Amino acid sequence: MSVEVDVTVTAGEFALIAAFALDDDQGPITALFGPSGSGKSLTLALIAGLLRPATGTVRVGGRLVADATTGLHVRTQDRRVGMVFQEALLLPHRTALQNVALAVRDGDRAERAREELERVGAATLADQHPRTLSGGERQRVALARALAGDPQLLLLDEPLSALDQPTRVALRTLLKERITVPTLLVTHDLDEVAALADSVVHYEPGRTLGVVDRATTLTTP
Amino acid sequence: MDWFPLLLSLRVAGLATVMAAVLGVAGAYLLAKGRFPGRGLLEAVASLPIVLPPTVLGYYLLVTLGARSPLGRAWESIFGGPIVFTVTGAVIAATVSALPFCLRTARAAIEQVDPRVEAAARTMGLPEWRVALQVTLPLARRGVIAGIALGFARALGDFGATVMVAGNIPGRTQTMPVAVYDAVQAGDDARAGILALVLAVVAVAVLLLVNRFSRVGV
Repeated sequence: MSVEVDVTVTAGEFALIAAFALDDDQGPITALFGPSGSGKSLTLALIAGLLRPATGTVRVGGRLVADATTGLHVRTQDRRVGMVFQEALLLPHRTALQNVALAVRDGDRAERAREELERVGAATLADQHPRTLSGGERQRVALARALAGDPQLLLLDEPLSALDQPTRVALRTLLKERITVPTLLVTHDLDEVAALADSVVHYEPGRTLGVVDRATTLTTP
Repeated sequence: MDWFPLLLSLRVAGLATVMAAVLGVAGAYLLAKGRFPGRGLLEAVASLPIVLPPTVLGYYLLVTLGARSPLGRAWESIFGGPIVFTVTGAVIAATVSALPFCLRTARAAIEQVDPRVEAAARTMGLPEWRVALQVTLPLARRGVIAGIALGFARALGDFGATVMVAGNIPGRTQTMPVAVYDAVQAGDDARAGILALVLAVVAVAVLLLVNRFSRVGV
């Protein structure tokens, strides 16, 4: 899955210029790495279609999904992305299983949802409501939900940064094992980059620096 | 004791509440989420029944629905009878009176729903109508129910608009509030007292229901 982003977003005083292209031959996980407020999450929102770029275009898998010049804006629902947010944002009125099942596109939804929950080690949580789950459990369910829709691209927006250290380490391992689809991982945690990323896009406030391979990031923090 | 006014009121308020709930929740969703020309105007018009004196509201409904109005004529040619001075007229008057209560309360509740949860639902591939029906409205349900309860109370209690549009025909269009007025006019204090008490009890019950739903979180 190739991803191409070449956009400008302005929101009040803040302006983000993001330009990078990722090719198929890299490993599945690309980290968007940089300090808070540098526009990493904004980039994910643009790719997911939750925001419209002020100028420029977004391509996912060679398909133009947003173009500020022509006003093209493919709806989030039609972009085939799966997303995990910093707070899990599970539907609070549905059980874990229902949350996952709602994202399944076809076939036996409950069955598929059970499989996905099992794969993230959350099979026993199926009938619980989000408010009864711990932060780490919620993120497991959120990951199952994001994968249940067979996304072409997985977007992880600081999925581990609200968790305590042991939980974070456990989930890092889970992400490493479970992720086979192309993934953009937003993080400001260098340990996370070291543990998970196959390639890295560097951010500084308001601007991306382009794609850098993993070795460069780790040796020049 | 003639219970016709109570039964009629419950029927009229029930039907009016169903219509006001459907129109009010749909309107609330549009106003909370939509950006379209004429939005401000729609909002103002939908809130008019709160600020207009009920008799003035009833007067305009009478003008709009009366036998000489285009709407009244169209109705008569289709259904063979007028709207005014009928139970249908009473239902319309009660619906219009109840509508802003359903709409405004539901709208506030819909606007309280975390837009990030709705965004998450979109990334799950749910089409907009399913986001509305399976995410936004269930999360706003307490406010929506409170608004519908308030609308019911308003519909049940309407006097001014109902009298203007449906009149005061005992045994046909005389609802509870009108019957209370009628009983007082006729010097029948016992009847007025009982009817008033029944209305008051229903109103307090609705208030308790509303409080229950607006206090408890999701």
